[in-house]
Amino acid sequence: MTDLHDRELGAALRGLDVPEHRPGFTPELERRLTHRRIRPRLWALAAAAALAGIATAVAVLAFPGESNVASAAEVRTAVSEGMGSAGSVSGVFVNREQANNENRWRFVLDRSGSFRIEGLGPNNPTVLAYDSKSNVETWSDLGIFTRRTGLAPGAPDSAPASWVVQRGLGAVVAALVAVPDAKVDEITYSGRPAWRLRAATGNAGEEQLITVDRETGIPVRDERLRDGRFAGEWRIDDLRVSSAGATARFRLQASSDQQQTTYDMGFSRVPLAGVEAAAGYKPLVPSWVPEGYRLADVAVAASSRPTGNEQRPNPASRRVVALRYDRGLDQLVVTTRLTGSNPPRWEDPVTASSLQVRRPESISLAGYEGRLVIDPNSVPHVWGIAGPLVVTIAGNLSGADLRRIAASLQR
Amino acid sequence: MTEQIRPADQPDTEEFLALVREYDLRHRRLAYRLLGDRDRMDDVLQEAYARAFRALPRFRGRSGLATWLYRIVYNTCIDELRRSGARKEVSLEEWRERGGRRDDVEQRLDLEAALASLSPELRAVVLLVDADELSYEEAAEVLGIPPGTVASRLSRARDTLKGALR
Repeated sequence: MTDLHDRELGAALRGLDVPEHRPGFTPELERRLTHRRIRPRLWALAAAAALAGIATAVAVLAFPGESNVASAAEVRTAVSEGMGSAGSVSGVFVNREQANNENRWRFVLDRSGSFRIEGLGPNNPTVLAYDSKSNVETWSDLGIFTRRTGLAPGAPDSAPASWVVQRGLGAVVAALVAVPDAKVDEITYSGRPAWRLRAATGNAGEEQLITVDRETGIPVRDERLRDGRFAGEWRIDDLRVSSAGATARFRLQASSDQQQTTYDMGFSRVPLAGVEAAAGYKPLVPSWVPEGYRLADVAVAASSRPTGNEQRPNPASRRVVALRYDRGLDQLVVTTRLTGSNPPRWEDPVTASSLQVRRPESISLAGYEGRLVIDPNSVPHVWGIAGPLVVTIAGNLSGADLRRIAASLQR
Repeated sequence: MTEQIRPADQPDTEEFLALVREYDLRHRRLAYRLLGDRDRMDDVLQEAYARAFRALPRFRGRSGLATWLYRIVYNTCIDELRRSGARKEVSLEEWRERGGRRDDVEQRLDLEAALASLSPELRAVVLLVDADELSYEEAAEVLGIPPGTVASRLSRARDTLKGALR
């Protein structure tokens, strides 16, 4: 998404004629609005009632009584164990920004990395699936069918487009890592025992309430409050967690009336021993990863799309090596790529927007200086320039784990 | 200007009309290109603005007010296309056979024809992102789709339209 706007095309489109309104349009509209003025008053009352309910709930949450509830660290451990031991997770992601503005997706995630996401409702026609065995993502959207091959294993390169998963689950897990000082309540959510963590996000006036199902360790709701008022939520309805893998179809078939396009993102799977021959340099490999993680994929690309901030992308990525380690539904990705001729030109490859609320911490990265980024707006990660290479380490891990991995990198 | 409207309050008609005037051009551009007819454009915008006025007290400010209003306009256009069953796209050949709407500049004619050949969903995304310079996130909010879908639709739309500019 580096070329955000096509200026030439935009100018041409703006140059097309747009008709003026018919005579009398504005007086006609004014009459309609005036005629209906009584109705907004009713809506205002309904909205006020809803807000009062939320405010009451917030007031209760703001002053939890003393109890022997779990600490935030214990909840994070439970989530880590839940994500690490699950064979598959399914349910319905619900995103609600306003009272009547809800988007829903049915999803299933498999520990192999495969997933399937299906929009629900008439305005949400997208179906997206990723088959980890063949490393092929298929995407059906109205009359369009897109197939992407040669995908990267994960951030910051072109990985399977698990946007819904990342916003609905990955971001919540990342936020859990990023908020060490969260308050914890024990609650009942959808009839099941749950923990609720409450913490400031770092954005002005904004707080985050994260609900974690105690039995499975899966985060099931992420609610944001702004100035104490409901500002939006992600939640999982109909959660199902299994220790077995999923049996869904992870590869879609195009229908005959769809326009089909295939993109090759340029990554090839290779054995670790074959990286040097494929990339032209010895890879940096962690000599330590957290318990339970195993090397799942090694991929190499001669070039990859620019990384980083959409508005100010990094130089083109060349000779990219990506190592993916997984543990259940969790994953950790280590990448290296050549800096090119102008190393200072590089900025954080993992964070795609300029939104960042916590200052990166300077740490050791394979003997060079790295930056540890633990921020609720991106996956926890480390990045830095190590000689001729740009290095990234990204995964829903604690700062201590990321530091230790960074220090352990060796050729 | 948009900050003057306090959504939780009963909206003031004059303030709302001022808001409509501020963004009316881009709403007309979207509605006209989706519906292809000035009367239908006006009917839909009347309905969309009335809906927005009624819903304004529920606006919570998560997205910008302009984005929120744009989304209502888009949804009303799509409702109209569904209601009338007029979602058929016009092929480039068909447009030319009809004579299209003539312009002095051949390129503009080609671009109009290419735009008309796209599905409403593709037309909308390229108008939002390239003509109105909304970000992918903003366009996603207006259209009610993920940013990744914005990107894929945009890519498809641009491929078609760029051909008309060559």
